[in-house]
Amino acid sequence: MKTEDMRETANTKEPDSHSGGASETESHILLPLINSAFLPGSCLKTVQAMEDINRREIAMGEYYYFSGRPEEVAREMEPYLASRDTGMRLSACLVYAFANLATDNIHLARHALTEVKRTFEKINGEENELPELKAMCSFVSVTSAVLLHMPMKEELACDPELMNLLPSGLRFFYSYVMAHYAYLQGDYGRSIGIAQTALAFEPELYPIPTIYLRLVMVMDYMSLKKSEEAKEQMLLAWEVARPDGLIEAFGEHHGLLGGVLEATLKKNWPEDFKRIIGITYSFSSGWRKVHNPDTGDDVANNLTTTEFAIAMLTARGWTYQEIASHMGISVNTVKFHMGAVIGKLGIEKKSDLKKYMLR
Amino acid sequence: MEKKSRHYEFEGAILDIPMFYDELAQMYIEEYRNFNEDPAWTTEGCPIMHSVEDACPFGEWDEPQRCNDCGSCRFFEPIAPHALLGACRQKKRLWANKTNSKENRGRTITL
Repeated sequence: MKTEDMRETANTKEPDSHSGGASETESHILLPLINSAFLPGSCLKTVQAMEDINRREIAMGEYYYFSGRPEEVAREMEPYLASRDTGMRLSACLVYAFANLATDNIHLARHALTEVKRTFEKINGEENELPELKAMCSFVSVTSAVLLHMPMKEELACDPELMNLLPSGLRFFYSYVMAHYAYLQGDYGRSIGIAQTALAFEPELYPIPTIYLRLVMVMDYMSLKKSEEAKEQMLLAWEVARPDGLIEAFGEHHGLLGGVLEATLKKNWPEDFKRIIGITYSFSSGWRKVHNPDTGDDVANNLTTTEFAIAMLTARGWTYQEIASHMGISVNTVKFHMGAVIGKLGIEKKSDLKKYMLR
Repeated sequence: MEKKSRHYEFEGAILDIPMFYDELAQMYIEEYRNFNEDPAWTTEGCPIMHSVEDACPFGEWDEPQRCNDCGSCRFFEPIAPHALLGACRQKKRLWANKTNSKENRGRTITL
């Protein structure tokens, strides 16, 4: 097993009070599971083998999150939400925030995101602060802003030199964040380029960043109407995720995947598909409540996942025949779902769909 | 659950659209048939279409870019303001221009 290349820490549990923290005592532990290379199927073993108790507990919280068990995240992460160690606190806040979106505890999610922002402002405002700490703060701030489709403020734009101070797994995940950002700007070709480059230079398999990178490529290819390439990336992501049950990312991205889940996983892995759809419903409900009102206020929330996928493709100019071929269903089934979509949204023509759909 | 339907009459075309109850949305929703395959016709021979049917090759739009459904086409006339059903006034799609058979001689179809 290869683990992250951040500094090792003592095998003692850190005090749980937050008293400000001096840089020299920082552990530099940040999202240890995202930053771990391991073979598919050995995720839990990788976490359990971490010697440092704080690292192990935070990684376990990440494992719970990425395997679609947000209720269990709180138990692992809550002790670290007020940690005086910046990396541990930011790790806990980020994972805790996203987990609470999935459990519809929006006030807890907001609280954690506010702490991320506060930490970023504090560390960024200190001229003499360690650049590694600044890199960690920028990474977490940009990640939360992009993934929640929040407006990216100028000060959040990361200095690439600063990002080079992050360990390889996090740099790799940061590539996903940047690819997602390019996707949100409608620059699908660039987004694919970022993801492909990152994957080409991946020194060893970092499963979690790999899954996310492949999923953003699915989103890009679907936006470019390249259905076969999208399905190929989906199956590659699933190959990495399935042995460890790392299904959260699939549920999180469902709305942007344009029916590829239905076309690739539904038939062969019906139980996993069902769990993913469960995650989609719970996560998207919370996500809509906190993300950018420009895209969130009108996002349809009473469509089924199939209706949403069909509506999204329709809004992007796909014909019913194209949608039917892509999803492996009949044209009449597509039209049946579209009938439900227009009834629920109260719209009159396809172009009205855009304001209800995710970008 | 009680079966519901909604009744429409427009220029001689009579349509009874079945409705189903959607648990998620908690509302009744009209269940349209495939109007491209099996349209209703007005007595003048215009097909009744649904506004979100894929546009046909004869469509024309006022917007600068091509729209992709009947509801955006300038030949589409809703049967009432904001209605989803409407008559297609494109002459190339009139009943009289249909090339097939005896069974198409009638003018009005009840769904």
